[in-house]
Amino acid sequence: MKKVIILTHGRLSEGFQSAFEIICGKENGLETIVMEAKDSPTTLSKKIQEKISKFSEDDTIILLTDIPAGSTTKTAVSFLKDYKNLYIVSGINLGLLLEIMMDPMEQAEESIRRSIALSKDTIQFINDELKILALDCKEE
Amino acid sequence: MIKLLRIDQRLVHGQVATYWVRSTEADTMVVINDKAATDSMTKMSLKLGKPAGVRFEILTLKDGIDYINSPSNKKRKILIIVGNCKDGRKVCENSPEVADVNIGGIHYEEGRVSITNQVFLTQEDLDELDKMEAYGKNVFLQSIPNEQKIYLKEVHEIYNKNK
Repeated sequence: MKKVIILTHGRLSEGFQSAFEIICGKENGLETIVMEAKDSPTTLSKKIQEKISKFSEDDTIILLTDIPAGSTTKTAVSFLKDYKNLYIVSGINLGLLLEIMMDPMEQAEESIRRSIALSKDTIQFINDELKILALDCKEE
Repeated sequence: MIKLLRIDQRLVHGQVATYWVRSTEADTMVVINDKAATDSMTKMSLKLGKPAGVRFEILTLKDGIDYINSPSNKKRKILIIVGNCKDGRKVCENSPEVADVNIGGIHYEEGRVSITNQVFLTQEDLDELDKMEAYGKNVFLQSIPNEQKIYLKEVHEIYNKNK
């Protein structure tokens, strides 16, 4: 089974879950972790451990974090050596979360690479995009 | 072939662009809506939401019906999106190939009856939906994937209870 955990600074993770539920509804395979200002690497590790230990060895675990340089990602990295079925992706946006959630993840690594590429495309300067579309419309 | 006809007042938005395109395996999205097809700002804002790798048409009712019935589009896997029940009925009336009709989202307005938190219908809407069923279409309400389908018979029951 595919399990997805969102780990962010503050309650951003819960916000992503809330946004996801508007589009797709409630999903059991989606968990969140909130890193608080008072969290140390030790207490944050505990929170991650608690979530991951609920899953089975056969699960594909995808941990989505906010920024690569943050404590969120750095703390998560230490779990990679013990969990061969764990994949960490930083830089979550709603596009990425949707791609990851909707992909069955039969080929996890390949699917993750594809999801990242697609989610990057959702970052757009809308003013510029509209200029391009306006030109297209004129040509039609 | 036509994979699905979706009735959604917002036409293309998150639920449609992500889930429904994928679940229907559509390679072509056809928005059939007179206003969207003739208003360039609406048209452009809809085009912003075009999913990667999918052909995207925004057409008037007349052009849209021609498009989905055109032999040269037979090989496409088409997801049709209309903005209201009346347009949906007109498409169904003129396209025997439509099999499934999905009511996705119709906002609340004065005089509309709540069916779910995303779908509010009038008696006229129900009449249009009944006609679609009479044309042999499978009509069901489902806004988001993790939600049970509500078939037309039950939509009527909820309507009568809530009106």
